[in-house]
Amino acid sequence: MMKIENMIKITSLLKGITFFLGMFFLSIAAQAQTQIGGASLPLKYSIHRYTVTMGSALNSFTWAIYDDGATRETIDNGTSVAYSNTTAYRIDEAPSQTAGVASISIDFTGSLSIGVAYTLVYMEKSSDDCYTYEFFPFVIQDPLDVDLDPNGLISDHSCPDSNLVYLEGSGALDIPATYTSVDYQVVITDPDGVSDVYTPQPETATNIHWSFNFQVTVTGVSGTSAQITEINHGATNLIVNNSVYISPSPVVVSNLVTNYTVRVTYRDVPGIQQQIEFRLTQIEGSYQEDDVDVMIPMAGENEMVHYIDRMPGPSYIAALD
Amino acid sequence: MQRLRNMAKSILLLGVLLLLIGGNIAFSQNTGAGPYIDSWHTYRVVMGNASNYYEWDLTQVSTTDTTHLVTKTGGELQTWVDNSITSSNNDISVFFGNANFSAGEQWELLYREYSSGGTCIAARKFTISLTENNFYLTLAVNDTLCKTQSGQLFSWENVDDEVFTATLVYRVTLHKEAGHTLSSWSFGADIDLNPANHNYVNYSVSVVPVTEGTAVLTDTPTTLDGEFSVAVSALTTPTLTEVAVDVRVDLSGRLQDGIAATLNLLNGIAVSGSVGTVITYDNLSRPTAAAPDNVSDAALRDRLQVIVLDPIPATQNILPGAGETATSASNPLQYSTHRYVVTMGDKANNYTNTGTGWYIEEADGDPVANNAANYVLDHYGSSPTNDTISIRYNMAPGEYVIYFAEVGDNGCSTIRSFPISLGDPFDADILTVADQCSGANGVIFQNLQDSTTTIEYTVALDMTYTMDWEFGIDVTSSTPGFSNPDLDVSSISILGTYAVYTSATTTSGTVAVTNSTGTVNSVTVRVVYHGLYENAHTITLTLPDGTIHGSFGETDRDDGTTLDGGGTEGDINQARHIIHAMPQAGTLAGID
Repeated sequence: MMKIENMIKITSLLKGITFFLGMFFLSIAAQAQTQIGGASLPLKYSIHRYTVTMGSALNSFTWAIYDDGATRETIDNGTSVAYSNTTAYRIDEAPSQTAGVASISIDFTGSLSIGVAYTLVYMEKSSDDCYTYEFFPFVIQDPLDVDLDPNGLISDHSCPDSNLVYLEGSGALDIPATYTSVDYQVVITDPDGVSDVYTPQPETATNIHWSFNFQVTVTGVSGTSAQITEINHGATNLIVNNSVYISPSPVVVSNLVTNYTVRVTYRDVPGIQQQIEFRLTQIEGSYQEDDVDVMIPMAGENEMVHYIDRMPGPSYIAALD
Repeated sequence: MQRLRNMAKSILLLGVLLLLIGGNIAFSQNTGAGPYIDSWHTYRVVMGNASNYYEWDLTQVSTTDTTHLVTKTGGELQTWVDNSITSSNNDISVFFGNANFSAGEQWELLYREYSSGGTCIAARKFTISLTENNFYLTLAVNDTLCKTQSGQLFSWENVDDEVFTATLVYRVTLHKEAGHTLSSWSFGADIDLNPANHNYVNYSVSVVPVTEGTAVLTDTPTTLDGEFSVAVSALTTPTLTEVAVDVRVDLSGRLQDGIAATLNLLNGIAVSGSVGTVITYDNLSRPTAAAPDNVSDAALRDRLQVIVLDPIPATQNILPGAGETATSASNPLQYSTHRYVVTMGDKANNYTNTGTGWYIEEADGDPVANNAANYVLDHYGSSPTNDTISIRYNMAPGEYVIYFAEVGDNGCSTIRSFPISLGDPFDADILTVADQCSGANGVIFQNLQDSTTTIEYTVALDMTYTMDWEFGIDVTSSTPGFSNPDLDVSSISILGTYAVYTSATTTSGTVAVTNSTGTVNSVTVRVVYHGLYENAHTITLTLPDGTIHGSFGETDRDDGTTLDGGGTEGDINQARHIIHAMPQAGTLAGID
């Protein structure tokens, strides 16, 4: 689990101008490529950490989230009401300060609405009861949505790779060993369905990954189960030779890659149809975003069942010399 | 992973190749991967499920030429394909005939097996590189032979209607590559006889060399009708490139009948394969396409060889010629002339052929040179069918054989013989005659007067002779010779009835002896003299040279031998004796 610390140098001036200009530019940039997920555009179900360099470490401070547009005056006069940190969002790590730097880790799992502008308010009170307010506007983005084979490239039923491929042996009546490889695309999709490409913003320069885990099970429908012989993804090449594979650790993928392919190779069992279940687990973005399909259970998005249909297994052709 | 497998496969193949080269092993020929043109090969696939639908195709590499061979529901789609399923073995046999395939072409045998729902198709292929068919049979060139009895001595009676066995040998030679290992090879035979004047007696076969397997002849369905088949076992030395089978056909027929026997060699087949059966047909384009060997009908896969068996002349036996008896012809005397005759098989055509003619050998087979010192052979008479000769025998007495050889235009010859026993020459001698007084000796005459003296001379054969013979007589006297009144010849006559004297002069003539009984071996010649015998006379009776003959122009053994020349009286052709003079006493008269 990685945390990206956001150093916030926020001023009131920025609140009025920079935020809206930023939103304007972000909005404009989203037409070609939207990079979201940062502190100001957190994804729903993500966790972000915010910090402020305190005026004095001896001062007390509080954090709260208001609707965008809240001011010191509206806060003070009660016009703006802070959102509940149990229903609207969650405090992932309680506010604290270390060496004069105050911080809070917010889990955007809650009732805060997607696409609505909010502002995170930092209030520091001196010993003489003087208050300083800092504002950090943000807009919650659609949650992370990692889907399995979103383009439906894998048919429910398919033939083994050797279908209609003329195999030639060395002259013996051996039954050829055939293999079928299936490419499972694990894709970060644009949950709002607007952007063509959806690239999560890295938390820091070094934390630029999203991750997922997976498991594969192949079962012979009416006989022997096939073996998973190899799994290849990225630079990883695994020899499995089992009918079940559960990835022991998450697959870590660069944020720059939103379409990641896991290739699973099966040794065919002649004459036996194979049922394959491929399931994604532990999907997580750079900011610990949870997959929407996990948070709002949606069957068929992170798992699939498909079949490699049975195919005859004749031997090679041999000449009876 | 696949790449690793391919790499391992390549290394294995390279290793095998190096082993084969290093070991100088002949590469297998006519395999399923490299079948000969005109061969049947069988390919197998073990089906995933015997109930599945399947298809066999054949496609030529780098072309669009695909031929559907078999479908499960449609069966065999080509006549040159045979498909069968036993258990799960799906076998397809393909005939790579020259009508559809050519050497150098590369084809792929394709197999597809469908899943029960038909959605998934397992496909297999087998690459086939067609190669030239280097298996072929050859026959020897056509041949013409004389019957084996040609030049052999036979009596006509022993050959005229008798049949003899002649053996024709057809050599069928198998040619193949060293790497074409055969389990057997075979061919059919159909023999045609023209004209149909011979009968089949037997067939037999043998492998040449004998160490290279065995050949079995099967004469079915009808025995000895000229049709049979031959199967030959595997070669003891599989790498041999040539082996032959001699097919022997025994025919019976008369020696004077010729025949053309044509062997039609059909369906030469080589069988190979250690698992399946690979059948390869005789490549009729070999030895070379420009000069195929003895091919008569490619469609029938027929090579043929004609062996012409030429007849030998129907020469009949040597017989005694005109004037001869069997005895005389067989028992000639030295210095006699005898006649013989032979009826030739074909005098008109064969008379001038080299080798046709007469010759004589001693009984032990030594030839007797044809020269005057030995014999003189002349032809006499004229006949369109017979050759008639006379032989004057001059060689030493002994046992001989007269031969007549007749050589046909085909070079085949007949020999006939006539044994003879050549006897000593004819020999007639005058026996000794004693000196004597005249017939007046002791006879009382009253006065000197003429009287006769009769002397009988015996001319006898010093041999056995059974034919007529003759001789001349010449009587002479020493000085003063015959004169009157001294001594003169009154008459010459023969005693008995078997000889007839014919006078030429008063002192000479000839005597012809009839000897049909073979018993008249001597003749008595009576000479009557008369006169006063004033002088003694030495009388010489001579059988003149050249006058003594038998019936066959014999020359007497003693011709040229005289008493004055040292001849022994009584053993030659002269006899000499004295008739003494008589006292010439006058007339005894009374004086008073």
